[in-house]
Amino acid sequence: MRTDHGHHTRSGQCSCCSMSRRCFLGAAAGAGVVAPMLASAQGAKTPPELGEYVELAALRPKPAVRILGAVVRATPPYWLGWPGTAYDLEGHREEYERSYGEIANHVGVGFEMTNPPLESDDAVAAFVNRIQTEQPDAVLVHIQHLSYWKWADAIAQAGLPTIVFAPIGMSFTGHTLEISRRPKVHVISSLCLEPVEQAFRMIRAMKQMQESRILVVRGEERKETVLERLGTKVRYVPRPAMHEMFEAMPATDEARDIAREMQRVAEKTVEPSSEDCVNAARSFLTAKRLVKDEASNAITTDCLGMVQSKVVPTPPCMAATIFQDHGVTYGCEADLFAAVSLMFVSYLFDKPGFMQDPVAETYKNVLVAAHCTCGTKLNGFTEPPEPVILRSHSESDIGVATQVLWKEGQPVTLVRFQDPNSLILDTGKVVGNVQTPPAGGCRTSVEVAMDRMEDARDVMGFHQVVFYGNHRRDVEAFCQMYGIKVSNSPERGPREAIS
Amino acid sequence: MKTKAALALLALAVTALAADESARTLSSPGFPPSKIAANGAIEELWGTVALAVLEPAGMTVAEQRFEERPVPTAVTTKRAGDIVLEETAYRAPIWPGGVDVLSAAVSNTGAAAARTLLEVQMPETVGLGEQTGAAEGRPVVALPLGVEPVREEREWGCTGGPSSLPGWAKPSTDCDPAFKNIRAGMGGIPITYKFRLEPGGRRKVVLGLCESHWQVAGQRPVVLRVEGAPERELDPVAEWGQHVPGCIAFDAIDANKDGRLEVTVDPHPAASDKNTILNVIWVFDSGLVISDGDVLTGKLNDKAEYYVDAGGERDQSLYKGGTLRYALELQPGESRQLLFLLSSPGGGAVPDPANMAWTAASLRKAAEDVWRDW
Repeated sequence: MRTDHGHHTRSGQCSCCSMSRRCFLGAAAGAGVVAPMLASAQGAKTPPELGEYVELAALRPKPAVRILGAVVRATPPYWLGWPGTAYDLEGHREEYERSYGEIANHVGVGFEMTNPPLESDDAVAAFVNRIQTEQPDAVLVHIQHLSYWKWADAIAQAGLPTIVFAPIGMSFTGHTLEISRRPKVHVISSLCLEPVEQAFRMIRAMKQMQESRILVVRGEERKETVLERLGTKVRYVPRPAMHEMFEAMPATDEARDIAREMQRVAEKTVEPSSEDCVNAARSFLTAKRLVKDEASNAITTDCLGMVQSKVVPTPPCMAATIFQDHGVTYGCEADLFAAVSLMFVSYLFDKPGFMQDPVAETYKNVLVAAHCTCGTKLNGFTEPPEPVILRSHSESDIGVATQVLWKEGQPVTLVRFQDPNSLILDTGKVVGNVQTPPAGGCRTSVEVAMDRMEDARDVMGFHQVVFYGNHRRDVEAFCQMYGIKVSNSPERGPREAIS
Repeated sequence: MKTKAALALLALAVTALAADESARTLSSPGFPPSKIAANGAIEELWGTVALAVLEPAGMTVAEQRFEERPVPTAVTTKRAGDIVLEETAYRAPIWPGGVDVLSAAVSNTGAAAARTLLEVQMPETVGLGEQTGAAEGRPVVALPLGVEPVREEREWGCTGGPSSLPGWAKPSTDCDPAFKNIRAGMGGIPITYKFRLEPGGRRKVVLGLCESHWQVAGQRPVVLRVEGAPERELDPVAEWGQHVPGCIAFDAIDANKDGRLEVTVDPHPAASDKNTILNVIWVFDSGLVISDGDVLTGKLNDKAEYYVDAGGERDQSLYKGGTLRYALELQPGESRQLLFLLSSPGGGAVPDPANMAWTAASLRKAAEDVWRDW
């Protein structure tokens, strides 16, 4: 089971690459130090020890997920009918069961296959009764005969999230046409097992969303709410909770180690000074301390407000990059649903998303996606990162921000939760990186040629989250499974679209 | 000394009263509380909601208890003959501002089938729709699904759900004053009005819209459906421009002959903003010759059989407001659950129960999750 997401050991010794420049973010998260007890800005709460080590990766929820499987088929032996007499029914059943177990281990979910296979109405009814009683997080139905989709249907009707896997040779288009578009159902008709892995990740991601608490640092109020459908808790804490803790956060050994590593692994450092890097590291320590103290799993802050009022010497851009690379969401500008979108990408795809301001580049007809913080492990938490340059936060020209260079030709997906029940989904391809200067705006600035759209001006939403890979169908599958409405940017301009 | 002792006693009494009062509230971390009365009535800022068993007669409050953990909860039990009404009330901290949950379990404890009439007492100012009741321009009560209340319909009105937003629009040309106000179907809910007429009757219906939020076309196109007429897709900004009022006329027929003419504004599937809007409705005699300009400027208002300033002062719900009644037939030992959501202090509109993902179980879990870690 891969659950470390690129996590590095606390000693700073990287087991995967002997502390290459690409792995500094892991070391940053893993370096532990002890600092003196300091006052905090937690209101009535007991002041925590600011120097107490907080393991960043531990902030990512790892819920127990249970998926119950069953094979449905005609009682063998039988004559004719797909998959056919030549098909090694038992051999393939055992092989698939083994694969499901391996995939479950890899994704970090529990999988339990029901044996023997279900071969009668009574057996299916008993299974339905069982899942209704036990309420697993999802059910996997493996089809092993063309004529028994009715049993997959009966199991899906139980109302639990249902994954139906039918290896090629178990269905015609007519079998999958309706059930594959049904809410709470995800049909995979394929010989490939990658979609099964993604389906398991989908079930895990929803459980992670349900078990997560996002900390929103803004304003003066302290309160908590829960998001419809996703079940994510949203805790609001006053903004001073962060900047007062930052002020008290010492420049510990851990902070200095992180600051050094930032500079060492970057392709280059343009504007930031060594002091800026130490402050950026203190900002990182403050954020993970605050998230832990508030029993949370993600954070978004009124960062621009803090910079504007000059209560911090650095925006948290660098801290957000480190968080994102460890599967822990750090959103900008206290934009709740941008943070939800970041968290969604992190949990569903095990890679960081990039929250950005969308700009229409009208000459090239591309979208420029721009912000001053971006994860580097865009290929996945366990994959090599993309090159990073340390810059100042562009709008204020202070602190440490990250310019991450995206891979040209890379397909990307854009998502943005509008509210807990609806999401904007688009795809495109990276065609370049914009430099600042000559451009203004933000340090990571990526040109995206949009798919299925005539005009980049029509891209819907703001603070959409961009991430590597064309995951349009994966996102649609998640939304179908959990009842989230999907909308896409218009293919043509608005007048033509409705006339 | 006597004075001191008296003051001390008074202080104790006040403290006890305060403690008692604080216990009789529904709350959630960070939000102002609602009060619970001794009869289980919940006092919200927009009015008080109470449940009563009208049939069988003779209802009494048998018990009221307050639970502090895991969630502050008030449980009030009432009896009327063999009917037991148990009301469980607590605050569910749903985003963005929470709602008060009032769950009513109505049980027949007798040996014979029984009919009971449950009354939901609310202020007259609460306009009732199909699934929600609105006050102060927003939905404040979500009604239980799966059970129809007994209620009286008016001659015309909005079937409920959309919010009233007076003064939302800023019409830039000479027009009827009603163009300043809108009904808004927040969250993409349709806006539906019904008008009484003779079954199968024909009318000329004119809808007035003025988009004052979006500057460019394509953001909020809507689909206009008037019974008996072809549906019409409309993007007010593309058609007339931002802040420019406009009218669309339809030849309407009561096609299903139910004596009600139905007018609906639906979100367009391609709209990025699916919140629907509607400013004005005119219903004229089908034979009347009208010009769009005269309708738009309000010159034909007095010729209209129905003239609706949607979201304005004289707009109304289709159903008479205030108290609702539910008639339930219960077998021996049978129990029915009715779930009401009430807009709470610090909260906003209640969700539409027909379209929400919240269930009784997930609302309770949300409350328990928040209190557990607070």
